[in-house]
Amino acid sequence: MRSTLDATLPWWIAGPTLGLVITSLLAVGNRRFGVLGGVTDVAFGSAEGRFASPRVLLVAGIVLGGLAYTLLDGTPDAGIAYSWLDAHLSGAGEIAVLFGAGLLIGVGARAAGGCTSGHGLTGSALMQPASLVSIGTIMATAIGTTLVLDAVI
Amino acid sequence: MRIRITSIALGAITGFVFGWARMTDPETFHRMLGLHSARIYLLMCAAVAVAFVGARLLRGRDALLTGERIDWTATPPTRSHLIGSVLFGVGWGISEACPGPTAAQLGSGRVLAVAVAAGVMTGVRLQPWLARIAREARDSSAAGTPGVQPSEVL
Repeated sequence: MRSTLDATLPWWIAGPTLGLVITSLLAVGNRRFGVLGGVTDVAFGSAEGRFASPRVLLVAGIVLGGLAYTLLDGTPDAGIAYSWLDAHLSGAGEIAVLFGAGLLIGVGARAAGGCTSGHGLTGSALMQPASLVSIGTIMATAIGTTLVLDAVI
Repeated sequence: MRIRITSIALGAITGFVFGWARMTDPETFHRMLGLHSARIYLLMCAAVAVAFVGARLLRGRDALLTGERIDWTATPPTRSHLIGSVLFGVGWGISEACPGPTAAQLGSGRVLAVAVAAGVMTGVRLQPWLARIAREARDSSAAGTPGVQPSEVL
């Protein structure tokens, strides 16, 4: 079991599984899969509640799923290691940069009405013009940012 | 109630897949966005393809738990979608994490994901206020485009 979990799940299993999750949410309640909707409900409240709306519980489930994988795999993820940023920053500096990146993500995704899951997966599958434009813009900007950072750091 | 239980269960499957597919490791997105690996692009395309077919098979039927008609209407892109997506992309490129994988990282024990998550929550909270300031700063004749309504966020 543990060796199976140690190997990276292939994209051709992981991708279709996420596709079935999106399809299932549509099937049970005509609902859209997306993480930012849950964050928005917590931030502002919603007609279905603030901390226990279905959109918030979807995100809570993702946290629990990440925990379940780590417990079954037996290797807690990373402690205070994060990413390539670790080599250039530490402590308060790294926390500040990550918080700032989070701010950009939060402001941006809220203005755009969705993130990679909402626009990139669900909205794209529904061929929503707003989602296709959004995910195209997100991808181009994220790739550009990464290439620039790789070049200058 | 049943829709809540279903939501948390589907979220748990998602988080487990994020962990197993190494999407809780920022290096995965660094390799994706640095164009060193096609794996996550293929993963996303496969997810979209399956959901595309599923959604079309379901359209017009009644939802199993709510009885609501399964349907959607086209949302046209606005200035808000474009500007927001640019900001989002820059944040993703720096943190190498988007909100779904960040949520899974909170469960998998990547401590610094708390800083990203706090930033995301603060940013979502601040956005309507920032958008109002930006609107007021612009020429009043261009102030006609309302942003995305909270219930419309995906």
